[in-house]
Amino acid sequence: MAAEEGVVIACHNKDEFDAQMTKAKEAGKVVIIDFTASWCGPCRFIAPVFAEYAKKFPGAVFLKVDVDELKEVAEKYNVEAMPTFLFIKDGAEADKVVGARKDDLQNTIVKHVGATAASASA
Amino acid sequence: LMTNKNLELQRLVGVQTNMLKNSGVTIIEGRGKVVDPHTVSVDGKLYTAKNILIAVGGRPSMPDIPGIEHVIDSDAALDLPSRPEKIAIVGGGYIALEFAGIFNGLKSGVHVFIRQKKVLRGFDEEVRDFVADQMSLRGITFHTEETPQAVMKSDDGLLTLTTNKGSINGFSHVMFATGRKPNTKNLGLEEVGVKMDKHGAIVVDEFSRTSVDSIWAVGDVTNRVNLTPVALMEGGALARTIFGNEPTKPDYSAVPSAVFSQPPIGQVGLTEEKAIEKYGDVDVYTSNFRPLRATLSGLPDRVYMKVIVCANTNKVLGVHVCGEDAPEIIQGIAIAVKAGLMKQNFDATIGVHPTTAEELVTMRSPTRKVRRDAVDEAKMKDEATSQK
Repeated sequence: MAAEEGVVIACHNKDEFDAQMTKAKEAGKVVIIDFTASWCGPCRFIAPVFAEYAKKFPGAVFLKVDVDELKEVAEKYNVEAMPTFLFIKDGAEADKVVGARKDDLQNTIVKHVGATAASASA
Repeated sequence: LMTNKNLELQRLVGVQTNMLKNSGVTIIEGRGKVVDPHTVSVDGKLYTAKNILIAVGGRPSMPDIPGIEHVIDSDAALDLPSRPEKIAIVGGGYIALEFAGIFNGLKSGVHVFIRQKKVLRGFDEEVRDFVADQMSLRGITFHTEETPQAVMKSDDGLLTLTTNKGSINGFSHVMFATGRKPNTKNLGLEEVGVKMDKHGAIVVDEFSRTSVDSIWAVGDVTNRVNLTPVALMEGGALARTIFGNEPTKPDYSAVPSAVFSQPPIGQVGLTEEKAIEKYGDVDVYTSNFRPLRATLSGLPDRVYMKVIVCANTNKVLGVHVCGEDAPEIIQGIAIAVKAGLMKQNFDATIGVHPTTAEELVTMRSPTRKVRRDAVDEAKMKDEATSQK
């Protein structure tokens, strides 16, 4: 558990992905999924930024999904553009950031994870 | 006429744009350039994709000769504000012949200049001869084996065209229809590693993939079979290859096409020359006749038809028609040839009377039988003679 905090977890099959989602839901944590592709230039550009945010916001779960590797997951969430960042809260989609936009991504993380942190404090 | 042409073009552009939007396609307007195997730049903004398809077509190609600035191309010829009094058309391909027919019909004086001996290179030889004869009869002047060297404008505004054989003056317009070349300049293809041939056409494999795995190309830009419906077919095959998990090669068998010359041409399948090359033993049925509409009206119009049959299988390999309505006739015939029908199927089909097309199901005796063995026999005899 401690080992998975602060890092981006790459999911390589659906079972892995589902397990991570279930675990996060049970723990009441926000999940941020980076839908990426090997051929996508902007995805490579923002990957280290996403990893940095994972360290910065250890209270959330950061996942990475290659859309070609996990087609069914990309289809389930209607992901058409890369990169797409999906925010899942209590099993439902709470927000989405499309494109390699650092500031938007950070602001959206603060919006959702900050709130969770505040709730935890209370 | 000009207004209606422009309105129709706008309508067609609108129809196609709506079709794309309704299909869920995002349209980004601007000048595109390929930056890397997965990235396209449009007006400075970058877009990434798993696959890139190049389908930019071709543009009219002009030789660089003195006075070329006075010349119009086929695009400009469709925007002339007035009828040309006397026009020189350089080129022997279908675009040149179509425009020659248009201007001749409008009573312009028409002179066609071709570098080769005949028009329509690549077409059936007898069709080439027939269409040139018929066009000449209608008043078009052909200048064969002439290469343009210069265009000069005189004080009265008229143009003189100089070729390797001499000069002809007094043209109100000079039009070049000297082919089209692929529109691949400034696309960034060289830098990204996409291979092109010496004419600038993108080299693709049989699945339309370029030398870069994620970049594909279809249509005139590949210079395979440069016809609108063929580009459509190539696009469909590619969609199955990339998105349908069903690698599909474009199928170029029995492709029908038309030339809207006067008289027009419709054709499908192989020319006689290609059929002999590929099959060897071939039966050729031809007919050169005046259709009923001409005999009744007294018009001198003639029709030429050719059906090419494989002597071993009796399969119809190609059909060529030159005459009124030939393009309309050939669409139906193309279904038969594509279906692989035999000569006996044609013969068993009831003719529609009184139509020109009826001739295609009533040809019973081959005009000539070509046999590969006969040629070999002749060779053997020659060898025997020389040995003696």
